[in-house]
Amino acid sequence: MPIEYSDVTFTYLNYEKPAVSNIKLKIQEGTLTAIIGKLGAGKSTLLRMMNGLVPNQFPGNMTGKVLVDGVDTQTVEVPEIAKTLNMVFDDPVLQIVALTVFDDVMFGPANLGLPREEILKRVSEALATTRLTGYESRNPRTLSGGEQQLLAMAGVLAMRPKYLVLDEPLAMLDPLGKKQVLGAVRKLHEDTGLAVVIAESGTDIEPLVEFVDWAVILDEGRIVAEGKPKELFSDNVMVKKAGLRVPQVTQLAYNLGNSKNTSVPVTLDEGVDFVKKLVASPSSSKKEYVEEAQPDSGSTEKVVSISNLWHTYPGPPPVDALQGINLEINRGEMVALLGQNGSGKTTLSFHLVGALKPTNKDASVMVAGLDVVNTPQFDIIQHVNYVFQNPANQLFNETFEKEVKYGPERLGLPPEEIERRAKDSLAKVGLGHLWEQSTFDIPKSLETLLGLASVLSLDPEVLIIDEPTGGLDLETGQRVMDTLCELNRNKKTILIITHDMALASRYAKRVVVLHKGKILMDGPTHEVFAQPDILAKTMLEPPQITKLAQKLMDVGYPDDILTVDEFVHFFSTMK
Amino acid sequence: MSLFAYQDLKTPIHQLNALTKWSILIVLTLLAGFILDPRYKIPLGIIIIVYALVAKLKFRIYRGLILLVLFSLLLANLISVFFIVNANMFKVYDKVWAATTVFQITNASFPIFGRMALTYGGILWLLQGSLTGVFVVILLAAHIQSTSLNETVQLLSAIKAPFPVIYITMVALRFTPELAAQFTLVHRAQTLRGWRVNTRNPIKIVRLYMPLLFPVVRYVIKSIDITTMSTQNRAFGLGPVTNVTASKLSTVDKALTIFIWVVFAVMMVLILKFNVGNL
Repeated sequence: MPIEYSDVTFTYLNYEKPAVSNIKLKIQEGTLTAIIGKLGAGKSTLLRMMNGLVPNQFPGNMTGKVLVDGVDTQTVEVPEIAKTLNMVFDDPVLQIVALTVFDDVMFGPANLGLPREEILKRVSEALATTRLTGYESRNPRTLSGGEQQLLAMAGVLAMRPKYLVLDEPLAMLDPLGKKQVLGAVRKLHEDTGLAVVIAESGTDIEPLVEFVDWAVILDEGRIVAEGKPKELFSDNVMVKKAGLRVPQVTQLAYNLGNSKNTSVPVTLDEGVDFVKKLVASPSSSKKEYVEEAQPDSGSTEKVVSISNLWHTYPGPPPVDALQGINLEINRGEMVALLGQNGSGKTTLSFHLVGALKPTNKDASVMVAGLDVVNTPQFDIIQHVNYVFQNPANQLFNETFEKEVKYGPERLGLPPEEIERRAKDSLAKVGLGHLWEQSTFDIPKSLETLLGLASVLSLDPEVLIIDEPTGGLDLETGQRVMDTLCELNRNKKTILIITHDMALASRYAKRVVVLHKGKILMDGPTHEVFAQPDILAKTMLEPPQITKLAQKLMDVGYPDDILTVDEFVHFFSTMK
Repeated sequence: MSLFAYQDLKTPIHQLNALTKWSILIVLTLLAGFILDPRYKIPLGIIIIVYALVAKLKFRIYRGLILLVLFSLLLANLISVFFIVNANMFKVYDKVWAATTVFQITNASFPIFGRMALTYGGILWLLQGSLTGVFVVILLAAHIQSTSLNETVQLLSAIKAPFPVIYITMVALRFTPELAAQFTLVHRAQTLRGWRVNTRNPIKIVRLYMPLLFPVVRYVIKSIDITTMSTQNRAFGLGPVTNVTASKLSTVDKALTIFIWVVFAVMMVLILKFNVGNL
């Protein structure tokens, strides 16, 4: 029996607008389904209805019914539904309840009251499926982001659910980590007929459309379309209206003039076929090449200069997070810092802002002319600063105004300068009109923009930003990147830490790839992404459009195309 | 390595049954509280330290916390200690010696409490109060390091503890190390926005810590929310939990558990009836 929503509307307690409205949906057994929608579209609410968290845990007004295998989820407790349906949330750290891998995986089956031998068998199988065998006694905190996500999945797989529900499971993973997770789920689906439902806000749309066979698009709490991904993405107008990201090969088709309701490619292989067919029909391309907004520094003044930087975290066992890093960055550069989870990106960035000190004596870290190793951190922050991936770590004031004034006030600036900087920084991120807005219960998009503004008001020469568009919808992500580009045009040096290869290739002229605490690659973006074999060593891969060009090298495409617009340009020249 | 986190090691303490380890924790904590005389409390402390060493507790990472607890308790006890001037408060030590003034605070006599001075008895009281805190921290750290969360959950389930007790225990054990890590992260984030302690005024210091506390509190709320959802989603609370890892009580466990409770009973008789360990 399927999961069935019969005309469901739900409004959270103390809210006026329904989170989801008039949902009519059937998810069949043994299928792979994606629920796609931008932030706030209602995806998590829809998912949480499946296991009864809504409305049992999150009270509100609900009309209609959600049936899972014929059971009304409103009439039973959540642990009862867990016998059939299990969910993995977007943040693996918080759902790993035990302190060793083994203990965590056996937590669910033990709660089901299964015999000891059966539990041990299931744990062993779940670990094997998620390739975590051998990790049994490890503390989950010592695992990489990808491994933690796999562990969260192993924990529910050991319960042998009929339905597996994943809420943004790929958000924190490096590119090959995403493939690892989806590969493990696909294997289970093929081996056991497990039905899988995945919610996705768009950043990871490319691996997702290659994975699912059915997709549901949500916008403002309503289902606006459902069908095979290829059919859905062919409706360019609907996709744009719902504010969704699309795979780069689909965007390519749009840019090459694909009109509504014409079939578009959604996977890499389909992209290859699509381009090859177009080459055979010369009249298809009408678009002109448009230069991407990637500012070129042109400066040779070193604003960051690191020499022989080591950092060892004390054990047991001790971990050499950075191993003799040497790096120079010129003023006005926009550099992407890439690497898999645990490669040392964050440790390196913390050294640039003086939040960590080298563990070797002969290291040197110079930023904006300051010897960061020997300068008090307070004296560094107006020269170099850091925007955290999770802005909630930075925000605490009651209003936007107070939040952006906090930094300049700590610096002891004159009141009129504090006012000017605060207003400027909010205006830069497009929030000037929210001067008096409360910071309580604001959406993630506003939180991110405010977090950025609160650092911009310190006016640092070098800005480090961790996953600038992570978890954001298309529009907010674009606003963040526009702000960074504007800063960069004004000679600010920007260092972006990211797993989003399309973002790095579009905005950074140079990328630095870290691997196991060492710089594996450092050079112009197009040169680095032209070496997929070396990138794969560190769980990275070029963006989809670059991979497309690399697959088309036999028909004359270069292997270092970085953006959709570049591809269109080359396509035009080839005609 | 985090503070108050379980470490999967193969020490003799780790091998014990959760019931035995909880018995040791409870009995030693109670004794640390009931025994006041430093002449008895220090040997008890040595037993606790040996226990922690056998559990391979890394004292190095707890050094800061132990010092913080020690000084906090010294400060917190200081005021009350100045009122321990009445010779009749002492049952074991020589009353005259115990009430001898080392340092007179004021000659004024306060209602109920009497005069205010530092006496030899007061110093003993201060010492024992501070040592109690330190010993409990060490004991707790050794216990958490050697007792996995699942062992505890299964033990509580086996003794049919109410569900809220099991849940609260689990969340507390799971998130204590997490909170320490989150506090470090928030501290880093706020320091980058210019946060620093530049005053010695305790009220101002408390206000200065607000930027650190708000994000941490928000994290705690979010964590509990998600943990509640994910544990329910993994059938926590459905019914009896299978005991997978906690081995049955071995002979050593049985002997040790009985021994520790017998010691407790004997010590309580000695303390209550014969004033052993009193001041």
